[in-house]
Amino acid sequence: MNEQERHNPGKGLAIAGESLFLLNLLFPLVALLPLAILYFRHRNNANLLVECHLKQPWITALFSTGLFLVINLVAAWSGAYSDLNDLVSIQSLVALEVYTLLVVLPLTIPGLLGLTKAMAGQCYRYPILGRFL
Amino acid sequence: MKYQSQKVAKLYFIAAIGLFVGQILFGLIIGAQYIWGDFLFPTLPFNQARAVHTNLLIVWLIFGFMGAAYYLVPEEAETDLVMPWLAKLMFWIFLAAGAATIVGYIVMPFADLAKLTQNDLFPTMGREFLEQPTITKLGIVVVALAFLANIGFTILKGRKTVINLVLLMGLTGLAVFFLFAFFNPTNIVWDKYYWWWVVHLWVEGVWELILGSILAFILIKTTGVDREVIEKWLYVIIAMTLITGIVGTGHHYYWIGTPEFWQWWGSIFSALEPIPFFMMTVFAFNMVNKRRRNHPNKAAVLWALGTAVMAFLGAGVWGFLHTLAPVNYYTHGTQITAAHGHMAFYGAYVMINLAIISYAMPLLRGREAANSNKSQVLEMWSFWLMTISIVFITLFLTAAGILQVYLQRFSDNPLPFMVVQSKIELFYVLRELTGLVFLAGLIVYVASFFVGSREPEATVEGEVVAAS
Repeated sequence: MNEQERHNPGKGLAIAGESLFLLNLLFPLVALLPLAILYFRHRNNANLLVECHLKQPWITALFSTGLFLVINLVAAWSGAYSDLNDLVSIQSLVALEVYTLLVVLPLTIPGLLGLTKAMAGQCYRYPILGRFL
Repeated sequence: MKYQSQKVAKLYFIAAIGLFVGQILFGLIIGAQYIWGDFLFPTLPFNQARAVHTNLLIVWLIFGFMGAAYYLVPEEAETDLVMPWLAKLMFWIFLAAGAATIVGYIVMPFADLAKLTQNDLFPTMGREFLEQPTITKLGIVVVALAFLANIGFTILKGRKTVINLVLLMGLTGLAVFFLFAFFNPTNIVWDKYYWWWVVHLWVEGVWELILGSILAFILIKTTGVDREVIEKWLYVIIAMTLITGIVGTGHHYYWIGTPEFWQWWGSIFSALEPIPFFMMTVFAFNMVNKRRRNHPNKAAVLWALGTAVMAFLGAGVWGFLHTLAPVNYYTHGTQITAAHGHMAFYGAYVMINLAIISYAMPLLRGREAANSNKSQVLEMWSFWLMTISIVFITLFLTAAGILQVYLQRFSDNPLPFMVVQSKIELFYVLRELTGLVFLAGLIVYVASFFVGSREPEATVEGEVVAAS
């Protein structure tokens, strides 16, 4: 345990939680698994910092991943991904744009602020979504 | 203010703000021309007014960068400027040349201006953003050389810090890449290819170094965080900027006649370009969260944080939206590009200039650390008015762009350009209205220099924290 950890236990976990949340926005599903492992291993941790920076990212990541799946299912239903040799179609491009504009854009800033607060060892509540958690 | 020679920065900052006002007024004029096509025609045709809008932007940002350099280099190098007189002389030459060029754009057609300035002898006019007559371009080179000599010798004479050296690297790059404005081949592919060496390698290359160093300087001064910590961040940010930005030039080479491999290189590297902006945001908030003191100049801290966030959104996210080759195939040159351009320029370069002006001006005007509370409240109002306006301008232009792509390039019966323009007019009206709010914000910003100037300066817990 380093000096910083002794002063502020759980800071590393908090940073990892927020980082994985941001990573999951960029690579949906890929970062969700390590975030899930982290969350289920530490969900009973009494440290307020860990609770704040693990529970929020986990639930919000589920929300963003859900939206990613819905957007892509709609794209697939309208004809994207029908030919695995030609994944780049107008439908898949629109899905990418919609996901970037409606999911990545509004969730990156809270994630980013959450990450910097975690790095400073402070709690942070996401706007709107954080109020329900 | 520690060094007398820093005072020359004030001239540059005042000129920058004056030209900024001009840029916004011309922006509103061309915004109106999108709605009423013959507005001010033939007195001021769209192409001329647009050139004034974009050229004023570039010139005032450069004035701001020069002012920033003249302010922060002596403080970082711990010595006076070697030639403050040269800085003043070059200011008046640059201002006179810039003003004469703008007047030229307004009062006569480009063809007449080209003839008047003997463009035939060494043709360089006629390209977007580089419309300046050759004689003006040569003047810019002289000013840039004198400026670099002044800054460079001051750094050589004094303390060498990471901030100074990164800034010098950025400013040298700015001057060097401008030289490609003189390269004007007849082959249009070659012409476009090297034209981007000025435009892209400025804003997605060397200007980011200038941005990073000014931001780092402001954060050191306002947060009191150790220089070593901030410098480490700066190293990583500029490395990422150059790694992604240089090859990222390829995203301009997709459809101009260059080999197809640029579609891969451009897509991959420019998709990574948001990374340095992301790091800059984490860096700025991290430093403010770890601050060792509360600086009384809250407005400067707000501008600094705003720069990081808005640059990430405008340059990073909005850039990514249309940077992949298959997406760009549809979106190229539409209002989506305009949306990205507006937010990226405002977020990255307008705001960093306003941040350093906000930090330095109170000191240049004889304050200990900050303006009065009243003045700062007004300045923060201007921050929100301008920032919220630009967000809405970007959203309206994005909506216009999406509709434009669909109607003009994707639908079963694609419509001609001008027909589509009339169909997306509603968004241009909304953009113009939001532009008026932006102007109101700018007026409030200018007023903040005069309102409350006689009141005592803001303090932290009843005590002035001197700028160190």
